Amino acid sequence: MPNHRREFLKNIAGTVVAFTILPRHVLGRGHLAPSDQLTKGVIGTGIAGRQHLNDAGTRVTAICDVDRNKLGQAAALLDNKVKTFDDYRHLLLQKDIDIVHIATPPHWHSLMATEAAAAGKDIWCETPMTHTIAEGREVINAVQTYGRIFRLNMNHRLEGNFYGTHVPVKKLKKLTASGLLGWPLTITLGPQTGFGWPFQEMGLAKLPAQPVPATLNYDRWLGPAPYKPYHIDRIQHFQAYWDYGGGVLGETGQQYLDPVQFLLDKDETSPTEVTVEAPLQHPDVVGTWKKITFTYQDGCKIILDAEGNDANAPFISGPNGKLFPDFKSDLPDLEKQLANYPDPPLAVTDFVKAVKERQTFVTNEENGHRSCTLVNIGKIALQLGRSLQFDPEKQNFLFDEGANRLLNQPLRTTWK
Amino acid sequence: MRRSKLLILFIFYTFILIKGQAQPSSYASRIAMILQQMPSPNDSLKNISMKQLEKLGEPGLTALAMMTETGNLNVQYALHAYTGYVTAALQDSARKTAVKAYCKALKLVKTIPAKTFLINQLQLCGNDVAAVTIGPYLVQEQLCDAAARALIQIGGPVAKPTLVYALSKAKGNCRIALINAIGELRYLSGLDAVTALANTKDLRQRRAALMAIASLGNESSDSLLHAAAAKAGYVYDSSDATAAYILFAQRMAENWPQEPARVIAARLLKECRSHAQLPARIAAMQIMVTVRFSDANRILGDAAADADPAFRAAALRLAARNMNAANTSYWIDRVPREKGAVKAGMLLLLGESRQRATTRVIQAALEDSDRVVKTAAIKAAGMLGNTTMIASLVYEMNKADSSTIFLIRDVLLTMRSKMVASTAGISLQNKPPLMQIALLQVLAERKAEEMKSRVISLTESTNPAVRKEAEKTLKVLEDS
Repeated sequence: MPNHRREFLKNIAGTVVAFTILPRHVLGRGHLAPSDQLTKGVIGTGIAGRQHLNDAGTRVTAICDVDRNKLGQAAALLDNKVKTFDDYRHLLLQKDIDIVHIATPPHWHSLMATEAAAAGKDIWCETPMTHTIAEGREVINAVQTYGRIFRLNMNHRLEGNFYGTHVPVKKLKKLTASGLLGWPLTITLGPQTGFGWPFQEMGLAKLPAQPVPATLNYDRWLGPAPYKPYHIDRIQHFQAYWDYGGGVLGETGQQYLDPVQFLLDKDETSPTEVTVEAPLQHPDVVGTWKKITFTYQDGCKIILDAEGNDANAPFISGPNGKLFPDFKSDLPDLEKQLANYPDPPLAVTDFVKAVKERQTFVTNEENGHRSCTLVNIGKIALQLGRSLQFDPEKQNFLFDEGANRLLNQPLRTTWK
Repeated sequence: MRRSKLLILFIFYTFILIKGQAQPSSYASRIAMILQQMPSPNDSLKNISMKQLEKLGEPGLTALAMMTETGNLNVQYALHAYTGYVTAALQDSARKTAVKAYCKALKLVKTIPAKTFLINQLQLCGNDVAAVTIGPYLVQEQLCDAAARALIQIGGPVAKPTLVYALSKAKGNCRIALINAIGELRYLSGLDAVTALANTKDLRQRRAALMAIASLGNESSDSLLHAAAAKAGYVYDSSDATAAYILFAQRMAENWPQEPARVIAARLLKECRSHAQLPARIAAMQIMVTVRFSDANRILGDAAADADPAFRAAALRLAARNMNAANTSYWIDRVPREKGAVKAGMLLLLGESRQRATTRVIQAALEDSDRVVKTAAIKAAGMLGNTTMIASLVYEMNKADSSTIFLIRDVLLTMRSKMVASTAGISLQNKPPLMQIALLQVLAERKAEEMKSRVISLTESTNPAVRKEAEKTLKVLEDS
């Protein structure tokens, strides 16, 4: 028995490795895996998915992609051996997964999130949260029906400065809640206030059919989106097509708008009006736009100013004062005045902790749906090329059947 | 006289004939002119184009819609914009004309992309007339998906039976699209047709059928859906049977009487005992709360004391959504009877309610010997924002560990009162170093100049970390 001790250690090591990837529930109610890590499945292994292969407190045990090449490349980036799937439903069937990270094109988000909730997984979802307003409500319903924890992948409420303002959201929130600027407030998101709307990557309206690469399951890439013949541009620039994204508004919009919605205290409501200034849009390809304005019932406004024509526009303006980037203001001694006001309420900003302690995460299904509603009503106004009145309670448009038919776009089911 | 009348009639007929022959070319030139303006760069030019399109009338719009076969991008821009235009308020007449034109063109165009494009337009603006025209495409492999999606949006008395009729003729993918559409439209008359497909060996069809039956929400489907969910073990599986059964229960809870929904929820709560079945159990608890709303506090209270932390948390989240002054008293009475994590969860719920009546119970919990309860009470105090708790919170810092001290600091900073700074200032002396550091940070954050002398005294502290923090705070106060 010369190798007895070595054999023993080898066996122990194997056991330890096995334990570290055990899901929490295997150990029974209320217990955590020994490593305290959450087991994670990543759906979509493109740029966004790969950024989340090594999140703190989590360990990826499975990945999924409809493109075999991407799947293989992502698997190679991981130290541990992971299960690979080309169908997310097989990944959801894995019992050794606590959370799923949805990093696919937006037209998949709602379907995957609702099924993940039904499968008892907690969810970390990329922006935009959903492709339509009705999908957002379905995600809320599924997450709450099955008691899941949902995180929308936006970091600005948690850390860092809020783009070109060069100030953390917490400080901005303290200011807006203080009332020092007065009320209602107008927030302008344009290049002049530090929020660019880059229209460089536009889609192509004429796409001749191309042969589908052997490594790609195109039907499953399309999934719930209407069938259109394959062209590489649909895959590479999916945000540029209405069927899968919403252009720069879809790609960047929620990242900008979620903190702004928070600043205006609108996490539980939506605007009552949206107006657009834009050229006519193609039915397949998302076009450019100049200005989109959202107006709330209390008079607060959010202006998305793509061209930045008003060079002197403040980031926030109210009846009593204005705030510019770098926290510059026309109010005297703003910092000193603000010191007397309270910080925003504490929120859970650690997703792993939220999952373990079953607490609502700061960017969750409810406020995520509301900020995504801004994106989605903006998209509808662009597609129809007109101003729209919105009912924030019923979450539908007033006196506009065309707009209401775009609230919920029926999904293709034949791929299933 | 009779001859002259005949002559007049002949001349009139000839005029009509010539005018009729002249129409295509006149439409062609008008259409060409409109297409040249596409895509309109702004609203005013777009409005002019839309008026020009409206003036084309049904024949002109039909001619334009026929041009979808050419693949001309400007045709796509024009038609799509016009479709949107006619769906606005007060455009009923223009909309009817457009639908007629698109339907006529849909029958005449030959290519799949052109037909798909027109069906997509009808999805946005279509009516009963469109539903009739789209009907035949519901059984065509390449068009059934687009056609079914269009009929879901059109809805109404024609679309619904059209879907059921098509289901009797459809095969393969078309059948799945139709089953789904009937479920989406909640067309109860389609229940028998869909139910007949629920026991097929084709898993895809079966899955679609179960979900559609659930969506239709008729009590008679209970045994079928229950059996399928039980077979799946009330967990997520490839049949989607559990999700279907839960959807069915939710639909039943929307109906009156709600007794069938209560029976299903009770059955699920009884049969789902394992951790794997937890999602179904949570769903059942929520349905039970919906149908027995008058007893909701007790149901949620018991669920919030369950052994499974995830079940507890789900109950508390649901309770938080329904919290008001009236049911706060139930939870206030319940908290002292609980301990540990259960008590902690309820305290957070009370804090989140922001009801002043919860102050006493939260304040009492600040002194709880269980660290989990104490931490929850601190957070609850912060959420409640009641300034009468400031002194208690600062007092708790004396005996707290480092993470609790800084949690209290953060909680204090969320409170709107000058008492925060004054209490922090007068509590600085002869306290544990970490507490002194946390309180100095509160003073710096609040720029409490009036506490400068107390900060200065700590710049001579024997503890270097306290000294450093005091110097930092002093600088902030002097700069402000």
